[in-house]
Amino acid sequence: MPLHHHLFLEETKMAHRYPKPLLDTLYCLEDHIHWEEEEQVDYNEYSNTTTTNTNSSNVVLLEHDLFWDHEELPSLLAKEHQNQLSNTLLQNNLVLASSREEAVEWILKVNARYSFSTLTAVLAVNYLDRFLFSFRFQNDNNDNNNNNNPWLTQLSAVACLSLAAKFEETHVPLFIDLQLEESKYLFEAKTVKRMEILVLSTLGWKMILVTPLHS
Amino acid sequence: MEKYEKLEKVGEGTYGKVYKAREKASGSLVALKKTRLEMDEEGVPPTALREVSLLQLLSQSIYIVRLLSVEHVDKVPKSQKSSSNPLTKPILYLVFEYLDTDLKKFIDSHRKGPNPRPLPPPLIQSFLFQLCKGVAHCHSHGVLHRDLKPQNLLLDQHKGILKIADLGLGRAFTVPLKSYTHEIVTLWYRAPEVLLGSTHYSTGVDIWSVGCIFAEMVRRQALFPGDSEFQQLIHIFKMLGTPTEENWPGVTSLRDWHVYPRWEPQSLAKNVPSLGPDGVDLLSKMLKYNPSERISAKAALDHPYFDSLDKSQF
Repeated sequence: MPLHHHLFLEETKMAHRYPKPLLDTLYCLEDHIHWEEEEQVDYNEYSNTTTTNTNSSNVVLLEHDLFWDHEELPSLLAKEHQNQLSNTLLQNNLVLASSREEAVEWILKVNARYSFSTLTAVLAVNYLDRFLFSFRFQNDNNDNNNNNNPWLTQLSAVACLSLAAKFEETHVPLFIDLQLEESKYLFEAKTVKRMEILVLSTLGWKMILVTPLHS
Repeated sequence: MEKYEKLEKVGEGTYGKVYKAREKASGSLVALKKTRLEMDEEGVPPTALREVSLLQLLSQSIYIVRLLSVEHVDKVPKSQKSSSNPLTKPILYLVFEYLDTDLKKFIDSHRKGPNPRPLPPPLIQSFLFQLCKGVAHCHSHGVLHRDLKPQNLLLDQHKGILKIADLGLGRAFTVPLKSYTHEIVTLWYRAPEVLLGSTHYSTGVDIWSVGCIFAEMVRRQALFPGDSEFQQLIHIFKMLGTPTEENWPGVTSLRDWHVYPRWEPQSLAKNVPSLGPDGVDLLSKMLKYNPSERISAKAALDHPYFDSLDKSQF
């Protein structure tokens, strides 16, 4: 029993050490995620002092985890490939990088206000980045000059956080309540609804993401 | 939506109506699941969002109904067609492959009507194998279905094919497990840990449902037909015995646990009298009280019950 328990803890720690390309593009989340990882470790340390039931549960998780291993890894890799992002977008457009940074900070504040999971925040930022990249790419091709509207980035952030919460959380606030956190813009429900559809169709409805939290 | 000709309404999904339709270009039949987005002022319903995302992930398996496309339509109401600025009503259509019936209708056709008869044992074996294949595929991709029931298992009767449908309540699961909504899964197929208020549940909830469906194919009637959560538990406890800390450690700490009469387990074999010993054994492993002891879908595929099945066809 102690050996299994030890293996489980080691495996969990190792999982968190694996580098993930995705994290490179989520620099604004870095501190938050590190804090979560530390908390995760604390939780595992705490489990050392809990009852046999918890140990039994950990062992079961270990067995279950090993049982699925040879199929789950290709599945995770396939998901991750879909969600790789480009850094070029932000490096070439400082105005967009600035509004993106504000949008990401806003997402994190709302996430904290409603006690959403870290995964919800990661999903929301991923959707936002993929959408901005795709949207910008389309506009570059069309040589459109309206592509630096900061309100558009904020509206995208509201839609992306709403979609992430709908996907991952059990209770999702109304569009208006979602925007209680201080922001320069306040969007009507019907506007956010339209943006949700645009984000979904732009991302091809591919909303499932591989993150360290899945490891 | 000009691509499709609606033929008839065939049912209701988790969140909308379902139509049989024909794709004009190819002539092939499809099922259109309709969601009127205006009915939900808060945009895309979570059930639709999850179903599409999960089906994108899962539909490579032939045991999951195939999602062919997602169509977003802005419909102009007839009363406003002459208006210069019509208020459109956004509608979402999920376009699926069409299958002609579901397992509930199939079982009913063998129980009522002009020719009541048992389902042939090899067919039960085949359907159960395909169901376990589909569930194993979902679970290996980190997805719980959470609403497995005969109505959600579509059949191609001619080819003997079974496919899992309606992932509107499905969701990706993560480790460590976290709280999920309590109101899931039709009562008759609901796992005891959900009925007792556990919100930290996992793949076992789908296996319990599979066990109930397996028994129902054999009996041609539901195994645990409760009409309230309390009655559902009573049905289960009367047949399988009231759970104890010995056979299900932690059960008395679950949120909705109360003191229940102490029933002794009945013989499972007596409740599925036409099922052979291997089938009874597999069923008993699917209906273990302790979720961690319940057989997995993948392990079920290797159970002796399927030894006489020609697996090369799958």
